Amino acid sequence: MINFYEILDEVESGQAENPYAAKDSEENWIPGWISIDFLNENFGQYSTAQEMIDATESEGLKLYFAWLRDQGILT
Amino acid sequence: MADITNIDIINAIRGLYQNPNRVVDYQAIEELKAILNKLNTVLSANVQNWPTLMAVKAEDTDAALVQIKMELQEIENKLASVLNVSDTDAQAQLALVKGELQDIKTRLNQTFDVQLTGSNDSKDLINGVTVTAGSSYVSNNYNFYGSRIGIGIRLASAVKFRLDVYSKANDAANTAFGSSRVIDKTTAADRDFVSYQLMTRKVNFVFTNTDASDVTINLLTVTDFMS
Repeated sequence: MINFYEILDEVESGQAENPYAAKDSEENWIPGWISIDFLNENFGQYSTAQEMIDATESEGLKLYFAWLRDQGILT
Repeated sequence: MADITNIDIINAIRGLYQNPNRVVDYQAIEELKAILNKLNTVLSANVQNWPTLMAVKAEDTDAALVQIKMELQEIENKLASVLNVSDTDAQAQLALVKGELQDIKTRLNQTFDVQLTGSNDSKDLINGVTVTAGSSYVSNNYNFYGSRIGIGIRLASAVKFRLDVYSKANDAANTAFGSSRVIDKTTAADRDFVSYQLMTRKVNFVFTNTDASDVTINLLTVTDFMS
């Protein structure tokens, strides 16, 4: 079990930085925020980045979890 | 007396008067060009009247030379007049421009009776942006001029989502005073529209996809109600 509040920095109340928050019509990624509650509710049961990547169909979330792994925040 | 030719006289006159480089007043330069054109016309007419390119005795040309000198004097007088008048005109024009500028500045400090009713301005601010599941897209800052805006949003698929409007200071740092949640869809929807009373002129929009699937904002349109 992972509590994302313990491993992420809040940039806004309940929000963490997400470099893959959105993508424009030209396929450029746009940084924004991600809800820490959302992460806890949907991915808190997993322990590794790969498990989280496998558990979602979201392109942005797959990249986000891989980014957390690259940052050393997730294993 | 040495023999001279008519062309010698004409070239001497032309050489004397065809060097307006010292004149910096553009209006005077234009006037000077016109005078030089007239001078050339006068000299050309004299050339045509004489048996040009033939060596003639100076006395033969005296009468014509006197005539040319008189015409040159007239041109010189006109040239001096142009330069003086040009300066005066420039000052008058400058005074006129200054007066008009002052009128404009005075008017700008007064109120304007501008008819804004019916001038509602509608803009498509966001289109084709895909927002990651659980994530928030923060828009650019926008300035509005009315007291209220209407916001309409269409999504490519039905999801749970929120829309917040952040009121911003008009400073370079875009300091946020606070935010208002104008849309909060806790059940999946692909559209909504709402009216929002502006708190500040500058705002931005934060679209949050609270669903587990990514969603594309097909269109977010904002109408600036100035009536």
